[in-house]
Amino acid sequence: MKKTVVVLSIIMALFMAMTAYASQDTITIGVANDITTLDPQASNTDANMMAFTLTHETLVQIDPETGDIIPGLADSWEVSDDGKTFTFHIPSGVTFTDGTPCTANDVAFTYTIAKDSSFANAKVSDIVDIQVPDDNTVVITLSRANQEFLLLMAHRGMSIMSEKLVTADKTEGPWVGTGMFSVENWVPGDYISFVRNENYRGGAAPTRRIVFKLFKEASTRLIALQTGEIDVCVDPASTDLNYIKDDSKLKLIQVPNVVMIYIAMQNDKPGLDNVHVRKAIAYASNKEDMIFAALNDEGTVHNNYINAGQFGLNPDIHVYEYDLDKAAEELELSGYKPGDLNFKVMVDKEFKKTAALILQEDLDTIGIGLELEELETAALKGRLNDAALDYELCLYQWTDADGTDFTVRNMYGSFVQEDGTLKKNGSNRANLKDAKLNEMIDEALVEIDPAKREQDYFEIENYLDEIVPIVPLWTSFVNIGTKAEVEGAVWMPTAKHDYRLIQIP
Amino acid sequence: MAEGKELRAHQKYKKRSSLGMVWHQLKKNKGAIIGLILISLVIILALCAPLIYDYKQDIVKNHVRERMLYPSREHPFGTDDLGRDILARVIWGARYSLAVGVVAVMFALVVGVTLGAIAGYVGGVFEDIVMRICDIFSSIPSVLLAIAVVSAMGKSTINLMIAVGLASSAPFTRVARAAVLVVRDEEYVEAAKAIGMRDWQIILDHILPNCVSQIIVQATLRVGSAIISAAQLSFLGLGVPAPAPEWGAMLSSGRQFIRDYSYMTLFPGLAIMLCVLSLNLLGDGLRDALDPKLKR
Amino acid sequence: MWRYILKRLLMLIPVLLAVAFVIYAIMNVAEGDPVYSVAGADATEEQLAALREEMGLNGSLIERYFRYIGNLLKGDLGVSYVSKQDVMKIYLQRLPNTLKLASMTMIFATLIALPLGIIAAVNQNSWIDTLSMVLALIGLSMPNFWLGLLLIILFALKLGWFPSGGNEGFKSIILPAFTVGAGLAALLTRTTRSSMLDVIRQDYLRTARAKGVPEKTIIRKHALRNALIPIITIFGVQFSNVLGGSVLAETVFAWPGVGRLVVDAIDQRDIPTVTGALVMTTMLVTVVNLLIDIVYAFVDPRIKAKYSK
Repeated sequence: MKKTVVVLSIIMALFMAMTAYASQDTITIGVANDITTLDPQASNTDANMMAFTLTHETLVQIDPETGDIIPGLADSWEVSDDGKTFTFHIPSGVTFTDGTPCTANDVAFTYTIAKDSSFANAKVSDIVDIQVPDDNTVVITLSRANQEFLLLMAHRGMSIMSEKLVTADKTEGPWVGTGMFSVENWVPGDYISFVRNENYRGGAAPTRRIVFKLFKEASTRLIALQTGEIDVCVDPASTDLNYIKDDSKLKLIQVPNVVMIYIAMQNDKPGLDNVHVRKAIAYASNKEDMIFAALNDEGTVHNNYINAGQFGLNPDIHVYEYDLDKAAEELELSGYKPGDLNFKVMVDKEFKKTAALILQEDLDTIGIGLELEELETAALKGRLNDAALDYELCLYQWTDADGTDFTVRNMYGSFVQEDGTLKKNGSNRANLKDAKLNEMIDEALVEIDPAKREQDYFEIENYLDEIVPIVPLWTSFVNIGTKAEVEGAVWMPTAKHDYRLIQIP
Repeated sequence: MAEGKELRAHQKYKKRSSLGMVWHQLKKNKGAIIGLILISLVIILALCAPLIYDYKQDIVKNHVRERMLYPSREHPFGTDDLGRDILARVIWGARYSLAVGVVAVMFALVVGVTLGAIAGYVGGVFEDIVMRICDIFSSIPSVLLAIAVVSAMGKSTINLMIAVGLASSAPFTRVARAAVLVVRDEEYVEAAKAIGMRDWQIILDHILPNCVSQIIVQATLRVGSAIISAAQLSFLGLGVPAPAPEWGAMLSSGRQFIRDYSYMTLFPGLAIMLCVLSLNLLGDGLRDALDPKLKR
Repeated sequence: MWRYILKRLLMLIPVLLAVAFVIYAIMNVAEGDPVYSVAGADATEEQLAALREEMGLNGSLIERYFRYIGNLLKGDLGVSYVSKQDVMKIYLQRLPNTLKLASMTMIFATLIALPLGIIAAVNQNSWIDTLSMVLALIGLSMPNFWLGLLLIILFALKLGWFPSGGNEGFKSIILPAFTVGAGLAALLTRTTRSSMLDVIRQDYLRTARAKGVPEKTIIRKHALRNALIPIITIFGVQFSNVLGGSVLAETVFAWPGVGRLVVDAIDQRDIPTVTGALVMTTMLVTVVNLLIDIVYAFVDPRIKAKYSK
């Protein structure tokens, strides 16, 4: 699957951890986004995921290099022949970081309460039964042979929590996992510190203390790295990368990012319900200029409807090349006259604003008005999630890159309601409700032959390219600046880095 | 009624002569004259901006391949991250910043003076309530109040004006009330009451003209701070929506490039400073001219 | 005297309740249902309803306000929508940083403004007087966040003398304190100068001069002491402005104080945190103003006479 660049494999790092001797006591990581919660089932932001990697464990995990499923909290598992029943084996003697024992019961508990979480429920929706025959075994039965079930269970949002602790304290109970670190101190909006779990069953982490320190401004963050105040600077400004390259005490790590930035179009809104209008917008999207101006040219044009590096990515997808003449033609085909249509586009970050300004100018040329609506990130998310669906365009991103089904189902899928009408899935920002597409997605999910399954996804992408529910724009790079001596961290293309084994020897 | 007219005529005469005095005093103040000239220049530039630069072609059109060019002969202030000429945007920006500043202060003035004048004239419980509200508004730091208002009402130029105006209306209320208190018991007001003039007429004809000068000084100084407040809100991303060339918003988007392209933050900031500076000079001069006690 | 203090304290209560109402109302008329920015994308109707209940969004605005005030009187500002942490705890974590910045700002401003104002007054109409008045005018006209950016460019990036942000030791407070303090220093310089000028002209100083007391002693012993009173007033009045100014400086310098807390919380639509932090800040300003008034009451014989019989 993702055979993209990964700086050090976990095994290599583990080996180094064993041989490490007297390393730096505390490592401070300058982060761009605040931790907002320490409850794995209460959020899905990248920043929080990185904290859960430290504090919690999932049943299984994904090998960052090969993309294979490898043991996590469960040391082994079996799948029934029909692909619907999964039996996981949990080793004895596992404890949470506070000493509370962890058994199969806690797994069952975690997955049960996940159904009540508005963030985790989509991942457990296929689970129909959970049995705990003994403390070391948990048997999970699914409604269908979901080929991506293990990938879903490796998601940080499915981190295992303690029934005892969560029941006792709904707020802080979820903070405790079986991971290599536990939360030491959290000052929201400033920093969060973790201390290592000395009793971790695989051996304690090489660094005693890890601190995530928030620097919202990219330039301030980088200066803090240069002055030695922090050891790692996540996501320095793309215009400032030369400061890291030119400094022998620092090193620059660049990993192709799989996060897809796209133009979400609310397909039910007048104008946007017309496929020719959507095509006109696709043709008018000057992706290269957007990357040039918004990312200082540090990005790659993306024309696919799923994330880079995902299984089933169609290499021969038809491309809507930037072409204002074709855009004008499509607008004419739609029946709308230049000047008829005026849309609003929602943006949150500065770089998205830049891209939207470029789109604004191009759409203006073909006679479609575009007004920028700058919102705070949370407000924008609120508008997208609001049942009223009162938005037209939005520059948004899709950050999950593990399961292809998870991506297409959430981005484009819908479900049948009691009254027989279709309702979009939560993250389907295009508000696409297409029964034919749903069928294609369901078929691909249970297809056991990988070659056929890949073909299924090619067809799904081709179909999406015909109806243009969204306009994919670009993927960029994950940039990280570190002190030259930093090692052991696993830099992820999803930007959800794994800091468990980070150290400065 | 005949007496009423005479009273009004008397007032007008007094007003004219005091304005003449003010001008006479102002002329002697070098700073005030510099301020007056500078602010007039800014206003003229703002008014003429459309004659120099076309909004669509020069202000909002992106030239992506010419982005972030250092100041040169072609672009005296350089270009921004979308390749737009910063000089053109700074000049056009005067329209936005001045408009926001002036409208916000007008809003504050109308609300504040009305409430203050009525409070001072009526007295009693109403006065107490108004003055307590004033206390409340002055104890919330004005930036925070404006932030709260804009974030609640949504981002737009109008809301920005209202937020800034609301946050600066308390001083006007105080000035108007104080001025009313001074003249409320003067003989000519008593006289006007005695001949049966209505209350609002008395306030408009006899009381307000006495505090006009103070209000003008307040307003001049307040436009400056309103421009800064608006820029602050824009800087925090709560101001005039893109791509309008508002100075605070330009500072805000240039900030990310501060390391290598500091000119992008330099020029809009200078523009704000120059504008506020000239208003302060003029306001100070006006105050000195109106208040002979302060003259040295 | 105590009656005066008691009266002022009692008057504080309705003011604070009204402040809480104004802020609460402003923050709660915001468009859109806040539940959607907290819930996940796949929230069901039941989950949304449960979350609304948990967030205290059920009931009318008035109902919610009274519930809020009830809790406020118990010192409970509610729970953050985002971090689920106690707002009072979050606020108290940040307050020391803001107070540190505010006091540094005031110290800075005084250190610059007092000497400058005195020298200007003593040498009235000289070049140094003109220079200090021009500096003061520039200080008043400069947007402080812009000054902050300029300071970062010069002292952090070009010269590398001070850090450009964060809260690590004494060095990191200097630039933000100077940023917030510039405007205050400008105002103080002007006030110091004009109140010194007022005092210098007083008869008793003329008498002192006539008696041959050296000019330096006159300035130090007599003039300065009397000129201090209006200067202290400025401090009281400006406290709220310093807190306001620190909002921008905290953003520019990544200073983890109350100002940045509010800005970040607005970013995250975290209404309880915004409301709580604003109410607490207003309360702080009001109490500081009250303290200053009380100090005045002790000093000013007129107020003293009115209440002590």
